[in-house]
Amino acid sequence: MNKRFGKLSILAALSLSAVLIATGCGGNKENADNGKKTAEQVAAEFEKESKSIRVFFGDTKGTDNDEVSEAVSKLSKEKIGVEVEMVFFGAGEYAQKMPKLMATNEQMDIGFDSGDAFVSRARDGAYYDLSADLDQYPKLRELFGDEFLGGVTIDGGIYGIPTLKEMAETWVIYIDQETLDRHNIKASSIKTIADAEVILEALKSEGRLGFNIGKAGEHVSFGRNPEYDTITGPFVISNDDSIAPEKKEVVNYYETDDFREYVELLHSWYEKGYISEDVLENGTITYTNKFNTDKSLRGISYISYAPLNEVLTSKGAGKEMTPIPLTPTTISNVSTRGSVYCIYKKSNNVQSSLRFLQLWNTDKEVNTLIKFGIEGKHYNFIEEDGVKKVKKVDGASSMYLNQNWRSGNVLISQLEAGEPADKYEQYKKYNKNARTSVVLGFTPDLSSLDAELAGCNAVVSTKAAALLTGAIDPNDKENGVDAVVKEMKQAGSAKIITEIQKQYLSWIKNK
Amino acid sequence: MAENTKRKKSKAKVEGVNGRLFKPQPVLMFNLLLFTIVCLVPMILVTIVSFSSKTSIAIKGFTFFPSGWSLDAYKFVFSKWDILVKAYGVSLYEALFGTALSMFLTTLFAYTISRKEFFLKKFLTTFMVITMLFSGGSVSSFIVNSNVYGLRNNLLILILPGCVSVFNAVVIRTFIQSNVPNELVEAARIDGAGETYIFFKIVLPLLVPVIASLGFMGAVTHWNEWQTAMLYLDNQNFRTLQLVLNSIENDIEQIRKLVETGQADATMIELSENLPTDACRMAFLLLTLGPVLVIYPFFQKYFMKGLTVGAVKG
Repeated sequence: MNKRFGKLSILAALSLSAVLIATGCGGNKENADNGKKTAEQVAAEFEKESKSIRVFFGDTKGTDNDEVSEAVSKLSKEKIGVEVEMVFFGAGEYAQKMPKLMATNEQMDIGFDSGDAFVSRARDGAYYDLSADLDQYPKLRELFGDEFLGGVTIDGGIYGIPTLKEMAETWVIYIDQETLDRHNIKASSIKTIADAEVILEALKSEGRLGFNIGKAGEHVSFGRNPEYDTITGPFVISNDDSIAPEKKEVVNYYETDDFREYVELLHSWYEKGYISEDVLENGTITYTNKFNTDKSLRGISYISYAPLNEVLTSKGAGKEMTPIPLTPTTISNVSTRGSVYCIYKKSNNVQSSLRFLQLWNTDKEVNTLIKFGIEGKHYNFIEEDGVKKVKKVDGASSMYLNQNWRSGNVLISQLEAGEPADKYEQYKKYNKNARTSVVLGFTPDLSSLDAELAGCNAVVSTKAAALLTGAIDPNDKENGVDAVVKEMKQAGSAKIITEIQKQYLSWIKNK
Repeated sequence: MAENTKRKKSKAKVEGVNGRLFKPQPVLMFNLLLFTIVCLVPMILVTIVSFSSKTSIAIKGFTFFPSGWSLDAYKFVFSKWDILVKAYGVSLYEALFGTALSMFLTTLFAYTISRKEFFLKKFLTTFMVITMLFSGGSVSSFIVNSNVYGLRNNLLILILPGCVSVFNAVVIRTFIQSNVPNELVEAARIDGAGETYIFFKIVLPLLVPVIASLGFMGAVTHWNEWQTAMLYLDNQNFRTLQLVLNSIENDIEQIRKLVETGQADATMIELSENLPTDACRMAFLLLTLGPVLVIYPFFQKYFMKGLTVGAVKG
């Protein structure tokens, strides 16, 4: 019996070590060659490639996607000599399927990614570092200033091409203009979230829904703290430009007085009835259901803004909606890596892929085709105030759908019917006037602190998230702010802060 | 006279064997009744919600007494009938062929390792235990299935992986050891039967109860499976019912998010406003549940026999 177990345990140890070796392989990083490639090198590499690439999109496949893919391929072959196959998976599927596909020998050249998933995959070596090649694609390079490449620059390498659109983020609250007029409230008088109370009071007096807040856990976003720039998760840094960058200190947002003030405000709103009573259990569900049944009940919601967003929102609401900005407009890592197309490291068609990315982001014809589908079938051109605009046919989204924010350079895309002629001028102005986050381009490597991070995130998604609904008293002993702070410290937030601070200082020095 | 005794005897038999069963057992009956109610109530609620009007769900939530009725959910579901029919086809294919192949291979394997005299028995049993203890995880199995076996975008992926279940093999082996006397096999061998003949003509017929009950459970598992189809098959025509359900759910969720954040176009906004989301979910649920509910009673008689297999050791 013992002998048998001995054999078994050896076997077990062997197979376990095999697994460890197999997973460990993913973490290897290639030493990037510092020298940039010359035009001849790039051309020679391109000649060797198969010139047929596969691009992966995260939108639901409609009935006509293959047809659009063929049209894009034909156009691309004509213009740059590269054939293209567009592969579509629905959003939920995409997230589950891609990590597995990346591990196989299936041909994959370009794929969509975003946010933290993008960062961890870039670090794991899934994506090709473009920094040596990018200078040979001047049209592509010029599109993005250093700012817009900040979010995709990780540990010094450029791991993808972001989608050029509104590259900054502002958090606004939306309210219909009629209500503001009826109660004589001036939108310009509302500067902070606390000022919004006058609107809530007015809404309450009309028997309408108050402040729309998500269910615990789905509502935790730090972009909406006007005083801070987000580094990662709850770890933030002051955005006060009067402090020298090297003097700035990394803090845990939940341990600041600003957080306490914010949840105290929310709780007072909850007690006054501005937030739905069952927010803790049902979150937006009750709100959305009620709103869908009777639109006139609409209250306010706190969301991320893009220029001219009010046009769409007003269309959705059926009346004029006014956005009231509550945070400074900031270009940050988060806002620049929200939609990125990366080239896979295993791709044998790097130069073909780059050629295609350049074409897609600079050529209006290709851009329109990828974005809207085929003319006459999925959309028609119309004239509006002397400007050529796209009008989608009825039911186009079930035939071919590629959402605007992830179908390549937004700033060269065709205007849609109903959009003002100067839309992209406004976008450019918005981007130009935005401030740059203190930590744009800085992504701390916290792989050694996985356990501490997981511990902190657990507190964020439970107690902190519950506090952010307003339903919990911030002074509560077991679930209040003190408890959150205590649990985060227990989980090791101080260690994380020290580590980020260390990496931040060395990053500032080398900047 | 003789007739009379016979009648008496048969009557006594009924009382003797079944009498105890039919004696009223209030505690047991009450518990079973309670259990039945617990199982049935959600089903009834789901059915009612699927027929409730959108306004009713918004105002009253999920309730047994909705304020309004509507067929909108079923209209929406059946507007996608072409997708549903295809998905039913794929799911049926997976459940039928998957279960048949699995049962065939598993019984073969179980019979092999139940033979004491077979020289590979020990090796095979150890091998089986190892597969039970260690699994490669989803990524490595994905790599092997797609790179080595070439099963990506191949319908065989739905039925091949996991078609020999270790648990089932152990159950069937125990069943063979306790219900198929070794003497029977030996007698057949003496009469000149080959191994194939013995397995198919002597052993297999005796395994019907265990095959039926394990097969039914296997079929239900196959029926509820959606991840394999999602991960391996890109073709929109190869989607199983549960996967279609799942992706429609995802789409509804996506549309809801787009509308809430003001990114949706007019068609989407219209769609989201008219879509009886919750009722739709329930209607889909009922449609996918249907076949299992219908088939179940036909298998029930085997469950009694099949599931007590491990209880008595021969």
